[in-house]
Amino acid sequence: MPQIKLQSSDGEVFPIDVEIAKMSTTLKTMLEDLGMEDDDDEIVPLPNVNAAILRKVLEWCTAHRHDPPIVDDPNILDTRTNNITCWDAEFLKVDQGTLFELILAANYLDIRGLLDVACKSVATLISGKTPEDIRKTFNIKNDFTPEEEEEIRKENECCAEK
Amino acid sequence: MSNAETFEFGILNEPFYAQNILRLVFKYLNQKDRLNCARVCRLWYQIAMYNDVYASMSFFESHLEYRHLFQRMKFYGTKHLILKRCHSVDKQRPSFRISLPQLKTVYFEHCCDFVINVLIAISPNLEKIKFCARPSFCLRRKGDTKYYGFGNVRSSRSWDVPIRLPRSIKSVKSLSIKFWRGTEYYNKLIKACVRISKLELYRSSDFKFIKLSKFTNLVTINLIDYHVSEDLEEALSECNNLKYLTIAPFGTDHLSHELHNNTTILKCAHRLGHSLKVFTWVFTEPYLRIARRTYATFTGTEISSSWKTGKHMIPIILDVSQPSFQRQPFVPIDCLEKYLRQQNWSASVKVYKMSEAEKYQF
Repeated sequence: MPQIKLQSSDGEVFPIDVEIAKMSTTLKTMLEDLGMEDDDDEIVPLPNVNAAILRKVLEWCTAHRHDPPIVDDPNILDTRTNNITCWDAEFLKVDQGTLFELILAANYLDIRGLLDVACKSVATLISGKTPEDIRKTFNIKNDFTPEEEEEIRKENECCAEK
Repeated sequence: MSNAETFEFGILNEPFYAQNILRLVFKYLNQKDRLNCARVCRLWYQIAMYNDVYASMSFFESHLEYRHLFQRMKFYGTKHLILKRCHSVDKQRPSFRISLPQLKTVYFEHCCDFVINVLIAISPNLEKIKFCARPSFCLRRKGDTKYYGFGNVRSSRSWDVPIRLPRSIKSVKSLSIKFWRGTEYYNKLIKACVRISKLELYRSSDFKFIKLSKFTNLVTINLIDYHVSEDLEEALSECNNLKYLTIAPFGTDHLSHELHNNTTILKCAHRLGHSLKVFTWVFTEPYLRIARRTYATFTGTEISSSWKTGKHMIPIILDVSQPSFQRQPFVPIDCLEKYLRQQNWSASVKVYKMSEAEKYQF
């Protein structure tokens, strides 16, 4: 099995199978465009991803390497948030900071499956909650004045559910 | 502010994280949740409002006043609209005077027919319409002010003057319908979309209600969970420009039915051979018994042990541009394996889980 080496932002090197690396569209394109597949000594630097997150990403990729590819059509985006598998749910039981870093990494590396499932798990934290609940969940400071808040509430009213 | 906790705000107070994360997460939220996000703080409000929060609107089991909704959509330039089981609380009939030139795609699930008809009439650039389940005439329960989008249809019409579907809908290029069984409404709709290039039918039965020869731009037809019938071959042969055909026949338990359906499908593909580029044949569950015997060897593809669970669909993509296909008469399913091998066909087999296959197809 041919391997490549990925280097995280803090310098740690991860040797991984090319097959797993190719789950990332970014890496796949890079490998194909540069013809790096035969060259074992090449190190691919990933300046946006630190070692802890990269390890997590690779763990997910390894577990999901037999998944069929997701057909990329924005119109059939699967927006259901209740179909996260047990493994993924367990995998995503991390603090919010890690979860957000995972999303950014998945977005940067363009790993659709991971991005999907991580975004869904953030979406479940938001859906069905009032703005106050959302603030509590993410520890966000409310910088609206009461008048502004009322104004936005009114503005949104006719588009919201009744 | 003496409490230390008040200073430790979450990571999503930072513009970098908030912008990048929320932009991705918003796709998975419905309209109500997105609007709640806009009310969280100034930063989130900006992101929500300028990050296409209204470019794509989706409503699920909501009570909507469509007159206002359409005005909002115009104001925000909404491109995509998803309506699922929404009730109407309109007190007056929606106006036709408004126009929604930005609207490109709509998805309806159990919607009032008047909403669909108005939307189609006022959206001159609508390109894609998706339906799930048939639209119903809106009705009003006794003593209730709400109009219900679904329920016991045909019992009452709410508007004094019914709002009809436009005769021709020229902008629409792609139409997909779930559960079309010759429903009058859908027949009219399909006939009206004269310039479609892609037609998708899911769980539908036959074509005797429409003449496909009228659709000169029709290039792609996808028939998913399709009840194959005799007239399919005749109907499809009228499509002179068809390039991509996908057939996933609805599974039956009778072997003889399956064989019969397969023969029909092969006949279709053969008859279209001159124009067809890609023919995708999706085998649903009951086919596995035959498929295992017939195809497992011919591809040489390892089929995983999860095969036994039987929850797989196997799209076999046959490249019909091969000239040999056009010369040969159709072959029954049993001989297909041998036939394909003889012809050096480039056929590929992919194994999808049922859930994945649904995503893949629809």
